[in-house]
Amino acid sequence: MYLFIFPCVGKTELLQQIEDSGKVFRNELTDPIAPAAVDSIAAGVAKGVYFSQEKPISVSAQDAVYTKALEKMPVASFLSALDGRLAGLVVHRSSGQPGNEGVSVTLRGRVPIIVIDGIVRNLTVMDLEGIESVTVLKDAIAVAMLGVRGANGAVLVTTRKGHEGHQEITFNAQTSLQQPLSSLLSDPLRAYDYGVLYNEAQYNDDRFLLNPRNIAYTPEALDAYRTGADPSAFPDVNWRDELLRKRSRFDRYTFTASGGNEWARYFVSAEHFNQQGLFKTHDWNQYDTDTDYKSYSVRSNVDLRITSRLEGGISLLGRLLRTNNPGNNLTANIFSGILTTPNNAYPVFNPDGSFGGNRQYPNNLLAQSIHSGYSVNTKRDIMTDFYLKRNLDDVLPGLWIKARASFTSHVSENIVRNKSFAVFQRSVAPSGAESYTQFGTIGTQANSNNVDAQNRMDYQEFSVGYKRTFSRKHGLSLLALANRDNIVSGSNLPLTYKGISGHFAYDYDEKYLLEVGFGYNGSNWFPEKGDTRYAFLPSIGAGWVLSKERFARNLKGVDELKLRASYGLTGWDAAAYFAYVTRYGLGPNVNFGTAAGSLNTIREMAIGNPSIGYEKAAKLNIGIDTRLFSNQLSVSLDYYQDRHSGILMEKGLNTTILGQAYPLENIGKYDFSGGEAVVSWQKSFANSLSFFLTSNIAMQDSRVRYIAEVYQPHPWMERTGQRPGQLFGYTAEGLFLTDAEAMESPVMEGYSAQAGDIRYKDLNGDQVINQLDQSPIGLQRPAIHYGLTAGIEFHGIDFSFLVQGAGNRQLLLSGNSFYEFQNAGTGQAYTHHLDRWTPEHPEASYPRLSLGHNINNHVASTYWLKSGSYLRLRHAELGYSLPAAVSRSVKLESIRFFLSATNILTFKSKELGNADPELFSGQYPLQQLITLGAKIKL
Amino acid sequence: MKNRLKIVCCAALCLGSMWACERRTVEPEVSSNGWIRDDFMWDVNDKNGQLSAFFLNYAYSYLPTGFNRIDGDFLDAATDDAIPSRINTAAESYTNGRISVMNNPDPYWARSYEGIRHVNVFLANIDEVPITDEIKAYRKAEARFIRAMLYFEMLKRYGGIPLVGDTLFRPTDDMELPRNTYEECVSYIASECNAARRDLRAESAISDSEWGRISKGAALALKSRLFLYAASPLHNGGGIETDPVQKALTGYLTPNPALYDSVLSANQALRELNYYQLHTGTGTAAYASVFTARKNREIILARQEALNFTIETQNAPVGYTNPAESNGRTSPSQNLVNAFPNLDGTPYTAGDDHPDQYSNRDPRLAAVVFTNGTRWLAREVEVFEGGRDKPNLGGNSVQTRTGYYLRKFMGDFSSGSAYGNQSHNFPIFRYAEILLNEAEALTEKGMLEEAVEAIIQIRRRAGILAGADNRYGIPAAIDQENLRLLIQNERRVELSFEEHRFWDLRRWKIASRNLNSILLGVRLLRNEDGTIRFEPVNVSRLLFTDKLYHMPIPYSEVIKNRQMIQNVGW
Repeated sequence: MYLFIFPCVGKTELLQQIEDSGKVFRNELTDPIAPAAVDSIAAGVAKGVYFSQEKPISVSAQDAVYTKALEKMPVASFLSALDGRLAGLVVHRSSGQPGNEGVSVTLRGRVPIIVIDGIVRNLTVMDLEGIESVTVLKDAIAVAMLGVRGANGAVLVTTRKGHEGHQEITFNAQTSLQQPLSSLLSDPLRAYDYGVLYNEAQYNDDRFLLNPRNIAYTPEALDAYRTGADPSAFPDVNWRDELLRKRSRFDRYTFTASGGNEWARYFVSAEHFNQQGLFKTHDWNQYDTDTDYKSYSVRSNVDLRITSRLEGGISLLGRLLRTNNPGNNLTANIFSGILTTPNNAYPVFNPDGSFGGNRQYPNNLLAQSIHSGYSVNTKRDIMTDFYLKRNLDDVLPGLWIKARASFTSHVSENIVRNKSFAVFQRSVAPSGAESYTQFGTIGTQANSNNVDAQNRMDYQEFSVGYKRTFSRKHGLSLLALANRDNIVSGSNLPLTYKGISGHFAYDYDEKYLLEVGFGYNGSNWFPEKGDTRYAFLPSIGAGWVLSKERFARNLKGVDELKLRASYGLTGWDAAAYFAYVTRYGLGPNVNFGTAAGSLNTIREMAIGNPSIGYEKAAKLNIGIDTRLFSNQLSVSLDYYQDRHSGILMEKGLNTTILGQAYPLENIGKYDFSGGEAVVSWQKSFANSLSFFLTSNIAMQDSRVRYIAEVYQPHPWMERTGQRPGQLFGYTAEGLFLTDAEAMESPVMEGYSAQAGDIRYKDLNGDQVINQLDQSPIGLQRPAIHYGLTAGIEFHGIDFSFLVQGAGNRQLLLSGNSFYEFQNAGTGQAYTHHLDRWTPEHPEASYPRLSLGHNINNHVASTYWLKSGSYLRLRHAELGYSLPAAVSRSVKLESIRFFLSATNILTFKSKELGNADPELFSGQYPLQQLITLGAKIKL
Repeated sequence: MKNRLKIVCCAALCLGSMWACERRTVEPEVSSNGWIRDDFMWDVNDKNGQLSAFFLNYAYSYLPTGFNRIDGDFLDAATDDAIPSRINTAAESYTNGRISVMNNPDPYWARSYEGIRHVNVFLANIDEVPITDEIKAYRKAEARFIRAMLYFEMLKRYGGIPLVGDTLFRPTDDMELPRNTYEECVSYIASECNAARRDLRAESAISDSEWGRISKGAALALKSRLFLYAASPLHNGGGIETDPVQKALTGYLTPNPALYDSVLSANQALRELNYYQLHTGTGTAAYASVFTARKNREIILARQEALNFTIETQNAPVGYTNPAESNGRTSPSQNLVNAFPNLDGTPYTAGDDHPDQYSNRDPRLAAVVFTNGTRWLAREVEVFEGGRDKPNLGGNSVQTRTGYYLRKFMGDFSSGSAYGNQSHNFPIFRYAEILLNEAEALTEKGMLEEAVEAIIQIRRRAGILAGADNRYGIPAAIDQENLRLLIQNERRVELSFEEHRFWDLRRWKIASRNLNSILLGVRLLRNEDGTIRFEPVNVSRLLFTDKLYHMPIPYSEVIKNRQMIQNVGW
């Protein structure tokens, strides 16, 4: 199905490519089974940081995904395209806002470092078609050369290069229709219901007061809300409908050209990304107030053979990311405003056309989105890499030296053109005379620009390598490397990493494998004279290819069987900015004198930790790789145990008698362990039918071993021994059925419990519910993440899909997107509150209502834990390629049309209502997309 | 061969240059983050000690504040004097039983030790700075006073606390310190006051531009209050604890009558400074100006703040809109209003529903609360039902819960349409308190007539009529018990909303009576003819249990220190 998109790579090229990495290929390379099997150059190579190894003789634990899979996904950051594709990697999202998605990943429970073309760079938004592969490096040997930057694993991105002899030009155009998923469990209440529930909540709260408040909504007011006869005085506004569009558009255009000859190879690409936001706009603005996102990126990777022994290359990436926002970056404010503005807060517009509002709500939400100007954030990046490589076969066959240099620059600039607006509260006197009270001022448009982030990085590397096979049996590969990475961010003093590292690999007849690696490096943000600045961190790996043994030769159907294991020490340099220096700084001014003059103050800002050092992790990985039945089926299994120690944290026993914040100390010990399995199956039939399926599942567990924990009064309160981030809370035992029951049961200190309140288990039996009754709540099982990709291709028609899911996942619901009447009673309430407890409805799913924060009900407990496990059809695509004869007739090599759907179907617990299991707190929602596109190859 | 050499040389050069051309790493000196390194902070070249003076300035920010301090409310709104206008705010926790080791909205513990460390850093390093011994001496004394003040603030809340002296802890030190006894803390604070007093500047040496600096009087005033608290029933042998170890943490095991003498001698020393007196004038305006005239001879030490009108916008009646929008945060109680005597000094007895209850009263009443009809921003305050300042909008809109708003500390904005910047004194110590301390100590020693003399000074300034017997309403031949009650009431009225009532009720051991009561208010109903009818209302039920006599040691401290003994009941 991919053949027309990507050059069919012959074996000669494969050899060529692998020769590039220095080793002469000895044995027949069997096509590895991978979903995108045709990416065989990439798929045949196991990558480490700074080195690579042919897959059959690699001992490291890794998993990779290639161009084909990535380019399908209608996303800006390649991280967003990785859901369910790589065993052990989990994608997290905090918002659905275009260009500002807050995507992050964890690998085996830790946040991995991102390495782009061999250099540590935190740049995740780039042209997806320009990426050859994304590889996750999970064990010690693969990241050994990163030294103090490797403990959390790595995501290795390799960009595409040109190949000799295959000129190829492609143009890919696609357009998507986006529809938001819901980030709320249920809809906000209509004004009438809101009023009724508000009165009920107030009645509940004031039942035991000597002097209850006056009723908030009189029967007349409720009646007016119900009939909707006077929407100006009794508004009922669905803010989501007023502010947000039901659907929007997203386009992507990509152009790539690649090719080469004996002397030069090139890959160039250009991509334009144009994603509309969710906000409605208005004709009266001559500018855009939506949360649009546009990006432009241009790449050029050129490799030159300068002489027969000298090679060089230049890679360039330029990109421009432009994010638009209403007002002065108001998008997040508007979304949180929706959660705190009830439907009856104020009318959107008054009868005279002015914006509605009042003293409590002086910021009309619609005015914020369409009448407060706009702001644009532009991120500009330039990434330039250069290398020279000299083959030293004339000195010693198999020896080479290489020098690399790189420069990266990043600027994030804001242009703000915002303006203030006024809202008006209409009142009608008994005589019928209208009057309007103004809140806020109408201002002129401000124009300002500022740079909110500016950094640059320069990198130098020098390496010597040697790769040779002796007597066709002894494969040897050696690499020594020295590098320096200098990062200048804002006005901070530079952060400079320097170090040397090495990798050694030996194999006997590709049967017995040994790899050794080390890193010796450190940064200048650690104490200069301390013994913690530089670290020597070694790793070792070994493998045994059983299938090469004589006794295994006859095993039917087993094409490959390899056992591998690695163990090593890795480090994580989490240095805060010169955290070892005790320092003083300015504090808020104080006043003295009869004229109250303002005087400077200085205070101790932080106590330095002179022995601060890097964190360490001892990583063990044991794996087995096998390919069966003429390479149709492949299975990889991995078990790992990563023991992190010296994690920088504030110690638990941090008594305030010190009188200052504790510095971070290298005390924490966490363990991460788990297993991963990848199973792939691929088959081609003679009648041009082919089929593939690949699935992965990862189980990830973790434990806190040491945090200098406080002396917990009860064993169930101990954090040590639990998972990091384990939820603690009360154990709910349903709702009180009667006031009498509530009064004689243990409750929160000082709280007058009543019927309909949550009843908690008194763990220590002291008749009071307090912090001593909080214990780990929720599922106590390892996290499970899985994904499955499958595809079928038949006579030009192809279909593929990606299913991804998470198990043993629980969500603790809270906050003003879920609780009723938060923010001291001014917050929103939702239709799921209609099923609240009342004396007439004791089987309710929600406790009795209250205004504002209820200290008994609105706290973390098992009552609010909902299943967050889900199974999502992340992506499905149907494609059709015109027969070659047809495309040739219009002088094109191939044409493919495709229709795809993203986030289209999700199976989740009913407990989550309408909410999407990834974004469920009322934030900018995730989108589902239907995409139509065509890809032309010239 | 030549070629090879060239290549090897090249390679070596590359590698070497990468390592070598690195400049020496620079540690931050004064970087963009505004960092100042240790050796520049305490610098032998800082001839005028400017940086160390700035450092001392910061110590002043640890002095107590009082305006709307507890999450927007006065601490006095956690007594029978007032209630927060907003429902369910943090301050109400003290009177509805919600205070716990986890919930104490007046967390002084961590902030005090922070201030103590700040002072200790100053004391440990100031000798490096080349300033004259004279300046050094009084700056050190100011710092030591602030440290003593912080210990006292903790002592009155928690009882004895770990005294750390001049120790400057490192994070790796063992800080599992036991609490010192109440007695040890009293003697430590007293000795620190003595030492500070020796080196502090005289009041007359403080120039106008330095007004607000600590001078000798503050050290003596702190001693006066320290010994008065120590001599009080709760701490002087009358502790609620039965276990002597526990009891020694919050007071003396047996009564020590000499403590009242210590109060008197501190007061005597203060008088000998020949500086302090009650602020001039009599009546409402004179009393009000104690809190708005930044420099006056009654103020011994006041929290210094910029000129602003925050206290006005926070607490004035809610009926005023932009640009004088006010939030009416504090609702003084009818209980407090009733505590104000009549104009002739006799107790008010006419009842909560008396239609003319605000006339012929102690002139201080008008300076402390807004009542219906008080002139403010060019109109009369309307706290009758449906009036502009009690509109009964329902829901969560804030308005008075008692029929009163807090007026004390505010500038005179009876006319005009907006607030302007204004001086506000939050008195940490003022001379009126010294007189009340004096009266209390004398009464307890049985020197009743001398005590009456001190009260008369207060009442004279308040504008109460002298009466034919020139006793300002104090009955002739008043006995000790009645004088004690009269002084308690006088202290309540004179020092209202200055964070005295909350602690006084506790140290007198009368909180279990006064704070287990009904907080009263009035509802004002306007008749057709415009006259007002008063209807007493029960606003809130105040709850007090004995454990509330002492604040709980924060839970987070107890679980980090195996030597830390929690107060009884928590």
